Amino acid sequence: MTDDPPLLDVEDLTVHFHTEQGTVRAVDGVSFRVGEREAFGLVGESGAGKSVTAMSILKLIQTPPGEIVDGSVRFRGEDVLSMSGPELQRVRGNEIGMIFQDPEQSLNPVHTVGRQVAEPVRIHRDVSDEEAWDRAVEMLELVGIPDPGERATEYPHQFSGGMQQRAMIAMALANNPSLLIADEPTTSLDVTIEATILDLIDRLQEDHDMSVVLITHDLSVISEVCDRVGVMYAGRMAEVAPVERIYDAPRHPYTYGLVNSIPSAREKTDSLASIEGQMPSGIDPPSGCRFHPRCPAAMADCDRHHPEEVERDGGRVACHLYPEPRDEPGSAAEVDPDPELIGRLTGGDDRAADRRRGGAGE
Amino acid sequence: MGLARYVLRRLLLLVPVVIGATLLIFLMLHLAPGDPARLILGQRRASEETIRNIRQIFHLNEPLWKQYLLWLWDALHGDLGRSFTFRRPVTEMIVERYPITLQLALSGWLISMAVGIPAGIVSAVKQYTKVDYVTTIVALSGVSMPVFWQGIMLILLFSYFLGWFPSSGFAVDGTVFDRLHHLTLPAIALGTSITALTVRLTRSAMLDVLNQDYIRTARSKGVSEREIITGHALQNAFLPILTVLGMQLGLLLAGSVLTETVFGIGGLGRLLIRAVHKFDYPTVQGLTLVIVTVMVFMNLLVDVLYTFINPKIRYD
Repeated sequence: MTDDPPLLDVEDLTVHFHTEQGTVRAVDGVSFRVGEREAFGLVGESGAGKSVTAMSILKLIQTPPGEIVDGSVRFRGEDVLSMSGPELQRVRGNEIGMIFQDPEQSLNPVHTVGRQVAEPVRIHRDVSDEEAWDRAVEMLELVGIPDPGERATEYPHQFSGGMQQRAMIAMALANNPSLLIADEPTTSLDVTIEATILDLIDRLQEDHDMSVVLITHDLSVISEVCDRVGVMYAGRMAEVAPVERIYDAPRHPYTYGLVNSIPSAREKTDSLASIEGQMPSGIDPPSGCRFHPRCPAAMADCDRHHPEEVERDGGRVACHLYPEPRDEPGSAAEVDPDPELIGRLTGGDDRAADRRRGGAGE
Repeated sequence: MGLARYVLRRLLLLVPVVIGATLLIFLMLHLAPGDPARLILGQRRASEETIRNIRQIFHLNEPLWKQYLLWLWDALHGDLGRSFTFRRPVTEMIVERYPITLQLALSGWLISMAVGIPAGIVSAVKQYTKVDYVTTIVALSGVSMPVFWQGIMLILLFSYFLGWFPSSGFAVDGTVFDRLHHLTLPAIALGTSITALTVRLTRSAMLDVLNQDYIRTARSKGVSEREIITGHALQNAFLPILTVLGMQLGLLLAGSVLTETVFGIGGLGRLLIRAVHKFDYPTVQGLTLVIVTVMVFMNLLVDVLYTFINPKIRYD
């Protein structure tokens, strides 16, 4: 750890959506950091606030109905959220590239793919249209589109889903950004194509010394690409941890449930493990820890106050099972529950633990 | 190549459409009560012999199907018959009046486009702001005001009180300035009546497009808001707009009865109404043919333009 500011520093981000039913607290005090050349995963169920968090990094939240109420997003120390229009445009597509869930919907149907890939180059660099086009073709080749010169003149609907997402990646990376935000980039793709797209992101990250924020609801996707992972639940960060640790020794009961619900291809099971209940609505979230109504390890304190995030094992966790360290040395470690205890508390058994280990990293 | 073949096929389709429409009008006119021969003679008293002669000349003794085929055959040769009431060849009247209708229609339509599309865009971009509300209210008032009332108000203000424009008539043989001078008020009245629809339609089409994912993508690339509207959104929003613009022009080219009546302009619309009142079926029949043909061509033009706007649309 150095004292340099991290590449991306999201602090206490709070985003509300004003709807007719009431104010949806989509993101509520989320903090995380992403270092240079680091791949950070944001995982959680639908509605956890992952995408809203991702959009907020580039201030892409539609206002109204959305509103970034509080917090800061610092990119290389500069606060993105307080930037004016032209300042934002300088960062977007230049220093930070972004790809989205549905590549077909994310590409403009009436422009050629080449034109769309060339556009960020044309905007951010002092180049002629021909040079921008050449760069687009070069990028399309880099992401593995065969016959890129020809395909660049085609329209998005002439591309398959996987090729469309490759084109999106080419577009996002055309200006060699230092950060790529990938919002569920493989959710709408076939499983076989998913793997190739993840490989591509992984490879490009290393080749271009780039950082990645990968948003997904699928923990197994995280394991392919990421170094660290943040688990979000109902607009809050439940746990942040190195990726190897999250599979082997999840700290938060919710993380445990998520890891436990990854099905294993090796082992035949009659039923898939799942977390009972549903994600609460952001309009009227539960008091205290938002996970407590579904938490098998819930205690008396859990519905009273929101647990503070505490440092644990190279990560952070927000759960009353891990009280804030007191001043006396050594006391914090003694109250920490054994990871296996969480397994028992949350109803997991040895088989689940095995599956967890076997399934991770597949 | 695909497009040329498509156009050819659509032009062939024109044949059944025109036959269907004219046959329908033909039957409706002939199944209506009244003796055409007596209608042709009007109020004058006539001997049985005169009536027989009239029947002979206008083929009224022939069976209906033969009458229709005779009309169709003549029409194919550019002869739409003779008007009972105006006692002139129908073709001649249409050729004479069509330029008037064309000028009025085009100018009204251009006003609708020039005002409606920008207003709709602004309204969509500034959704739920004062600009949007004002545009919406003005547009709704435009829809709600009948065109004849609007016409009368325009005449009252700009002709009667201010004396800037003539209150009626059309300078068919005048100079360009003369014609524009006469055209201004009717074009505004006609244009306003359809502008409202253009505004609302453009607004909703733009709103729909601005909420699409690819607009967010454009923003994420650093495209400026202005470029997003002109470069990314408008072309996508234009498809539904074009459809309605085409239909509007098609309808206007059939003549605008109310505007023509209020401003005393002798276009197709007034001719049609008078012909219908007088049961002047050669004229009604001839006008139907022209209107249907123009409508079909307009739709074809719109369909061809689609391919230039949206690359997904291909006719091969």
